[in-house]
Amino acid sequence: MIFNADVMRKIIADLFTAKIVREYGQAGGRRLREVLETVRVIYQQRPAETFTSGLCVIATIDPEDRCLPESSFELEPFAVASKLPNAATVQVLPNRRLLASAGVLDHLTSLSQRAVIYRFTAAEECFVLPNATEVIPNPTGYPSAIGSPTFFLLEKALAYYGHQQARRTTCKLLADCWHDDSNRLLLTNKPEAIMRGSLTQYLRTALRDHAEVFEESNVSETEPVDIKISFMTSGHRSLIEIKWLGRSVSADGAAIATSYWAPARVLKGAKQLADYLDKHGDRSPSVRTVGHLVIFDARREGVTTVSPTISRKQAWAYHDRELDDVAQASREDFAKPVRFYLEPSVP
Amino acid sequence: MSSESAYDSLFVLDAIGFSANGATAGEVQVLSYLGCLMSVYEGQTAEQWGYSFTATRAGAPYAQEIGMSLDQLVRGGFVAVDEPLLQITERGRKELRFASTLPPNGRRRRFLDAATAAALAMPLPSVADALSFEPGLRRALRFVRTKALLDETGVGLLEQQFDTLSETLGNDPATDDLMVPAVVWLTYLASEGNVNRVDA
Repeated sequence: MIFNADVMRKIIADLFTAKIVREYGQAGGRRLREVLETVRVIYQQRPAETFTSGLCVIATIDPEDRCLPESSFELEPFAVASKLPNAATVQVLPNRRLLASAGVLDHLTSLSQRAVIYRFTAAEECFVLPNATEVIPNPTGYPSAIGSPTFFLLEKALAYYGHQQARRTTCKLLADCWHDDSNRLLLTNKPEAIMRGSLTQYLRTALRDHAEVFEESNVSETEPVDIKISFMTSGHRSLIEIKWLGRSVSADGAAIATSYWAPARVLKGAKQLADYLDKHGDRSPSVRTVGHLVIFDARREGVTTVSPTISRKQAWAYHDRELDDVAQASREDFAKPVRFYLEPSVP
Repeated sequence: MSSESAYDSLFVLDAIGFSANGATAGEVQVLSYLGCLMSVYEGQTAEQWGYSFTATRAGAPYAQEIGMSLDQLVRGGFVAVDEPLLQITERGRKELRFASTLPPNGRRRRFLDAATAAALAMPLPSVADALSFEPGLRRALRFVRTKALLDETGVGLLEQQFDTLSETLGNDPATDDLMVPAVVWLTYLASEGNVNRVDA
């Protein structure tokens, strides 16, 4: 890899960690660590979006400085869920002690002269600096870039992705898989790469203890695996094959090009993956390899043109149609197929 | 176990354990390795770190000394096991506080702190993922065999990247905090690595 200095300069210019250290010096860097740690602890116990009227986490540059009103109370770090209201300000004190008060302080800009301030609202997540608001980039579909959840088990990570990222196409990468994002009845031409990219990016940030999440680019009948994962501590591997169901358009968007339906597509995918495991699976007893078949389900009823007009009932016709079992699921090296139902957006 | 690897293990577990509910053995290895890399960035030799790393078959960094230290720290009650996580105990924190006062550990604290701070600024899984593009690890993955990391060739490749990083950062006051170069480097590896990974 040859380093591109221009790309690196852009990263440096945009990085919130760099901006905070430039503003406040080394003391600001120390306070930033405390703020980030506290934000993560809070979001482990309560999702960011439950702070419907905002959350503020503050660490004063002088650790002895106090900035909360007299009504503030000492908060046990693991009592966040029960003690914090839906609008709250938390000050981080030395030795991981926390002080909290109801409501978000309204003089954050002036306070930022002497404190590192994190603020979350439904509209944005940012650090408040004396001369600017530094929005934290959030390429994920989570409400908070800092509070994104992590998982040890791939099955749980996939379940979360299916429910939180794929179901309502919350993932910004996955949004490109639709030909018609307004209604979500038809997939774009060859959406597999988009689905693979979305799931890969999610797993890289969500799956703990992985050594590598590798996205294959040359997927074929004989090389069906889309994503290969290796885990650090166990050394085990997971192989994910992605299939989609529904209809996609031609490259010029003028006609419906491809239709894939269950059970045929699912059975084919299962057989391909099982054949691959038989041929390439690692026979070392110390390295366990498990295959996972993942189905992005965009099936709709009555879609016959690229500008379909169908009823809500037709759009949602497959919502509850779970996949049939596949024979390969009885294998120890083949996990139960996972279905991500992609909801339509038809009113 | 070496005192360095024991110290590093306790430091990492204390630094990220609070926000991450603990760390796996693999994550301790990764962050200790990243600390070692930060010391190379600041001009130390890999040998000065005190113990060496190899690449596992899965492409992750591994130091036998860290593995042994974690086992002994668990046996000694300094670290508790809540599978798959390791968590520092109060006894471990006391030991860490004492060990931090010893001069040999003073300098390595800076590098470990940069590594664990990166794991606060980025999702923890992203740190290991980005690090898989460190030239030594990438070389090891390509050859698909266990390989010593930070040998002469590995350090040479790494220094090319670090020279560019240092030149690009220049006299930026943000570099007062070693967390910043660490996060910039990892962010760069992750962004460029995605392109190279798909096309590989």
